Amino acid sequence: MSFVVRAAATKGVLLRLREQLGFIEKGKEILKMKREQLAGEINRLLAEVKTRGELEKEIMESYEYLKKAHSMLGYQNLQSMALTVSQIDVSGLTYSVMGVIVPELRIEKETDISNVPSGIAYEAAEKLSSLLRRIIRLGESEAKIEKLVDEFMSTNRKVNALEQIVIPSIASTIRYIEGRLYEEMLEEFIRTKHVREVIRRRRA
Amino acid sequence: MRLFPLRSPGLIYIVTRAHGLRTHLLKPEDISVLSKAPDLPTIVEALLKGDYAQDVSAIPSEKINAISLTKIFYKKLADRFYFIAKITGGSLRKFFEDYAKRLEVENIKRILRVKHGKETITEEALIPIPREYTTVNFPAMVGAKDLDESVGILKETIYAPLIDGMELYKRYNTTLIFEGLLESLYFKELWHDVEKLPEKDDIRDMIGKEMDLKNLILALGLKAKNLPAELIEASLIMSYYKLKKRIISDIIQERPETTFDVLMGTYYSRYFQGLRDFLGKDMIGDVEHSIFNSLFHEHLRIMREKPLRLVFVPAYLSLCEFEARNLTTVTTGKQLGLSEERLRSILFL
Repeated sequence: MSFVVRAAATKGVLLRLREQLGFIEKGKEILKMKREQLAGEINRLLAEVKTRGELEKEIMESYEYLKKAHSMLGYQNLQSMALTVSQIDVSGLTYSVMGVIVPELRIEKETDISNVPSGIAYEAAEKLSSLLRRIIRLGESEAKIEKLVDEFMSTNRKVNALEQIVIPSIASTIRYIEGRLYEEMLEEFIRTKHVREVIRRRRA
Repeated sequence: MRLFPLRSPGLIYIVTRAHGLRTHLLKPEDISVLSKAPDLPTIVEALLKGDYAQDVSAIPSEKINAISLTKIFYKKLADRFYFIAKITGGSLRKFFEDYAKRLEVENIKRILRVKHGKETITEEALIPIPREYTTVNFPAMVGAKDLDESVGILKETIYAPLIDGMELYKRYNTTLIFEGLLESLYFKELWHDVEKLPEKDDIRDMIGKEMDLKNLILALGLKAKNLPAELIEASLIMSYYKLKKRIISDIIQERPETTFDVLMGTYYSRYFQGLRDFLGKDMIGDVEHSIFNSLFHEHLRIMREKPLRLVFVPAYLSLCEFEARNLTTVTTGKQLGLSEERLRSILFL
């Protein structure tokens, strides 16, 4: 893709283009800084998401406890015991990371498993409820990563476009105008010299 | 030859009937074989040859699953409990009717838990108890709009003290209060009946041990949850047999590391031997299973050693209950894909 700046070769245009180039260079630097910040945030979140495999393993282990309780107590009995567990309260908020709106899940009230009457069911509930907070955190991190990666890719495209297309095009237009102005200046100089020579010859 | 005092024909009849009924129970070997079955249909096929045949065959094949089978196992358990009550009279009938009330207690617990969770429950989720054997209006309890109303329905029954437990329930927001009260009322009534029985010593020993061990399991479980001492005490069974109230208080108040030593100083020390690790890690589920497994073997021993005594009958009823629990475990475990080894570790064998 080519990006051509059409402009009249005047000093005014040259000044405006130089100003524009400086502004775009600054913008590019800011976008690069944003990109670095986003990459840093994504890297930090990726470290959290890396525990997913471990968490999945722990969930599967907890399911074994649940299967055990389910088998020993029967479905109806276990279900009635499960209803003694108070529900976890989670509220969803949003905040901005470098202008990107990301979700934040806040646990308002932890689940209370102390009412579970059977030891077997309590063991299963204990294993699963301890994982609940981590599952919520992981979900939150994954949603943040998704949003941040989208923004990172968009920023990256913008930086690339500025670096590869916009800036070189403006720079080349500036060079073209500078060349044209230099030629015009030389032409003017030679014309002046030639006129002076003609005047001098007429006087002589 | 050991001579027994002259026994009433009713007593001889019930013991003889229990011997006959016992032959209908699945032996530990049968349960073991079922646990090795590759899948649920194989277990269903095996069940079609025994006492469960009529009920199991009545379910359409597409509706056969662990839930529908568990319902059948507990229906059969209720039938077995109430059959014994039906063929007896006088103090024996009262005792066996009250013994069977453990099913009623279980149903009340289920309803109250669901009402506490502000969910709805249907009678399908309850153990089917013949209307003539229960004083509790289960349809009304199920249909009650909240827990207050459900508990209020128990006003005219032996469970009326639950209404007094409402205050404590509201303070701690836990149904454990009601569960402890229900167990207390159940055992209090049964304990009262035992005193009027002939050959009461054996039965008192059997029921007393079950009551004490349930109380110990309850206390250990509640302590592991770090609940307040007042709540733990209110959630326990109020009657004691060989257990001293002081021991329970020690378990509740002492540091967890000393629990095993406290238990070793009780009449029930042998039930807890080898459970130090489980107790240390608060693995109450395993402690619970181990204790009930010991009780299962003890009741088998009672049947072996005292075949002509009245205690044979409650021991038979206890085995009926263990059979229902074992079958529930096998069918649910198979449906959930538990391995044979894991399944055997949670069975009463």
